Amino acid sequence: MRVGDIMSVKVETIPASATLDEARERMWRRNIRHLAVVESGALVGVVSRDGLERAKGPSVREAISGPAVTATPHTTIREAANLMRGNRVDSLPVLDAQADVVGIVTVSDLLDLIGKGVDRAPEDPGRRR
Amino acid sequence: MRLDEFMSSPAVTVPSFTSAADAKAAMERAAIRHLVVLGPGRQIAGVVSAGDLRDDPRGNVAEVMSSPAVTASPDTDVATAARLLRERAIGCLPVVDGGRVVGLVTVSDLLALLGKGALRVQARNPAWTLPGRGPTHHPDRRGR
Repeated sequence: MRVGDIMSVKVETIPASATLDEARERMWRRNIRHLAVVESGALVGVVSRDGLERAKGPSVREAISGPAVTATPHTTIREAANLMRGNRVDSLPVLDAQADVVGIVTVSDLLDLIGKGVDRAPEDPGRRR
Repeated sequence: MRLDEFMSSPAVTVPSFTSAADAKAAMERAAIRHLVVLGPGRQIAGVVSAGDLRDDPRGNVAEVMSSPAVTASPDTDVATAARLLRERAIGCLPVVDGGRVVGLVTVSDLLALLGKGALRVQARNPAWTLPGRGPTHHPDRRGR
């Protein structure tokens, strides 16, 4: 299974110059926890509700942490889990070959996936059928 | 897969009278993001996360911890744990056996299982992956 199978395809974007209040309002109105932050048409990061709470500066630009860690629709779920864990992020914007944002996958999406039922991977001989 | 197959054990715990500053230092020393807070008799009193101890923490952990903590059992299965973490919007589940904290499972632990290929996920209900899935909140139905 790949990121393209589980990502949310309706991604809200917000300019890096937007105010923190504008970002909060957008999240509240859409009932979401992450916004893709763009500048000059390119993705520069992700802002989360937690990031907004911690932000010191006036604009969304100050609330994003480092360059965005991204995935593609073809990234495997396994790779996505490693990207999130290794980079300590809770979401991955999904970019197509043109570097356009086509989706977002979050930790919650991965928990949903596990919550829907998992098999032990076949390399464990203990439970193999 | 049961939680006792992959939980961190023993869990790192602190007594409820620990100062928030000491708890923050303990987390940094152990490079962890969650501590289980124990009350009298070593019963679980709550959980404190790195997010609860941002900036300049004052007082003691009992004042900032999440309490009561959502807990699981050693034989809870990984799918149930994932649903609990998701639905309760929490970062960790203390594992309790006979009133005693025996381990801790975090969201990061579940990502690690996925990441090393120890779990095989199933697309049981493809409908939920349909394009356009997402917020169901209606913008006009604003609460107070």
